[in-house]
Amino acid sequence: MKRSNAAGRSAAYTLTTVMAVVFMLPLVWAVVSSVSPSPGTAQTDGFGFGNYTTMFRYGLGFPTYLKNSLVVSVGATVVTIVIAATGGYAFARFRFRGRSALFVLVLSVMMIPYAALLIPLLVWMKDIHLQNSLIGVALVLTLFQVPFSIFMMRNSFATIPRELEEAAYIDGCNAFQAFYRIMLPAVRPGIVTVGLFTYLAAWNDFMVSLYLLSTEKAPLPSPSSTCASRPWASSTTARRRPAWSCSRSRRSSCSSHSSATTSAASRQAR
Amino acid sequence: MSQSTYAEPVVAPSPLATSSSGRRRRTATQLENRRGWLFASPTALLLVVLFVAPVVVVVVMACSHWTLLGGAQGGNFPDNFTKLFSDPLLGKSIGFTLKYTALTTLILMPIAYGLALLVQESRRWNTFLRTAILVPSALGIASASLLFYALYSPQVGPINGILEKVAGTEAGASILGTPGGALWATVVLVVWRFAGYYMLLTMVGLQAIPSEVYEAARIDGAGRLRTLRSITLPLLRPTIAMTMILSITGSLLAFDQFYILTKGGPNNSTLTIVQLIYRDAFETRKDLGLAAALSVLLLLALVIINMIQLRALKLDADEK
Repeated sequence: MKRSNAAGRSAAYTLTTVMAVVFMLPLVWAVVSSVSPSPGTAQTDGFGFGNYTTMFRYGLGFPTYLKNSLVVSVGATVVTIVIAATGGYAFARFRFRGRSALFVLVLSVMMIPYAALLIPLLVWMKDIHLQNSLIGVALVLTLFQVPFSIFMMRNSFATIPRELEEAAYIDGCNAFQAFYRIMLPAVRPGIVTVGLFTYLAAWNDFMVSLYLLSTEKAPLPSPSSTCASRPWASSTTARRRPAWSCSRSRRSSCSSHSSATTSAASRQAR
Repeated sequence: MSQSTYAEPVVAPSPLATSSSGRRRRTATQLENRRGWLFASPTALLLVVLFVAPVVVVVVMACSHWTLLGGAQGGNFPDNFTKLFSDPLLGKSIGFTLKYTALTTLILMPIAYGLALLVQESRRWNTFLRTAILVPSALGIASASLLFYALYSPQVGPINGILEKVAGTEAGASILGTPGGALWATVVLVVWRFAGYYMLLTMVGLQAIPSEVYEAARIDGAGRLRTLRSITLPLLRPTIAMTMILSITGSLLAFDQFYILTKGGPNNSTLTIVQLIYRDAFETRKDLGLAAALSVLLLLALVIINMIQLRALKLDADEK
């Protein structure tokens, strides 16, 4: 009995190890091939960082895309935290008129596929003066995070005893002060969770910025994707090690054509 | 409303307020109402401006002649929908989306459950393996697709060479060049990207099963397989239902991976519904009204599917 257990265990270990290696291989390959020599790229002989130089200067330059990505991700994170904290607090503590209607509205964001809202948003963002705006994209990404984030924060606030607020009121705080000084610090773990999830989702977003932003506003995933639509794209952009490498000679042709179409479209859509 | 309105010294909503006179009770309710809206207003504002309004706009657009370059040109109610239904690509893309969803879910779920069962015990080595399997989930789908695009590339990727040797495929032919190859290539990418994520969700479910149940099974003389079949799987049902719902809804709305890997090709064989919306709007017809009509259909379909799934989950929870 004992021996068959040990055999089973080592078989399980072998299987998991093989799986782990299989899962890591594509990433390892990306890192290795990004510094390996390959004809037609900026790194033709010996190992080195030539491809990274290409990437850094690609299109409008890596810093521009990085800045765009940061504005969208940090913007979405900050706005989501503000909305989820206040909204979650309202749902956890107050019975106000229209509460259940608002709750149904929050739920329906979860039910409706966001892919179906991008066509109207393309037109609508112009009407509310957020056309081709990084902040606009951040707000749209916030919207998709609202249901999860509000549930998360509502549950966090629900675990805090009411006596804590009452003590704050007795000490002379108004509703906002009690919320800001007493309740918010108490739900810090929930805020961190909401912030991390939102940041990751916004950083990895591809579709919303493809619809709503033009080339010069494109965040990191977009220029790389149009690069891949050409057959000569050789390496890739991993989340941690951006290393997509395009052939130097044809770099100029690798323009973000789809984003350009979109921006032209949103200019003329109305 | 100004901030000073709320700065007035207020009585906490305590039992005291409800037991006093009617007038005081009314002001207490009003106060709670006002405070509630003070905190709920950012949420309400965002939802009205960026959710309710676009839903209205999409319906209006679906009923209008609205081109990409010409803008709004008046109503034309059934036209967009008749045009939509006469397009052979609609049926094709719906069929493909359903096939892709079934395939992904049927392959991804058993792999995720298997991995979770394998690495659930907390040992140091297992922690390492878990992390290794989970790393791809930190990548965006777009980035992961790009990575696999390179892997599948006949010029730079290693996979073509391996397939050539193992399966004897034609040298230099792209895997993405045939309908079947493109579909399976995408399924492999999605399994790689999501297995760790669903493994994690399943592990949370496994940890919720009390160890006493396992002990009782062992005392009753149940073997490994018997325990798995009679204890683990039944108790894991809510988790399985949840992961399946996530996988189905996610796959029905697939866009990034096909946009980057296959562009819907070859010969429109891997075109999903969400991709068809994008294509109608920007690439082939440049008709926003038509794209909006398809969006409305997608919206209704997903709402119905979500309601069915939520009801199933609720029934499942009620049985417990």
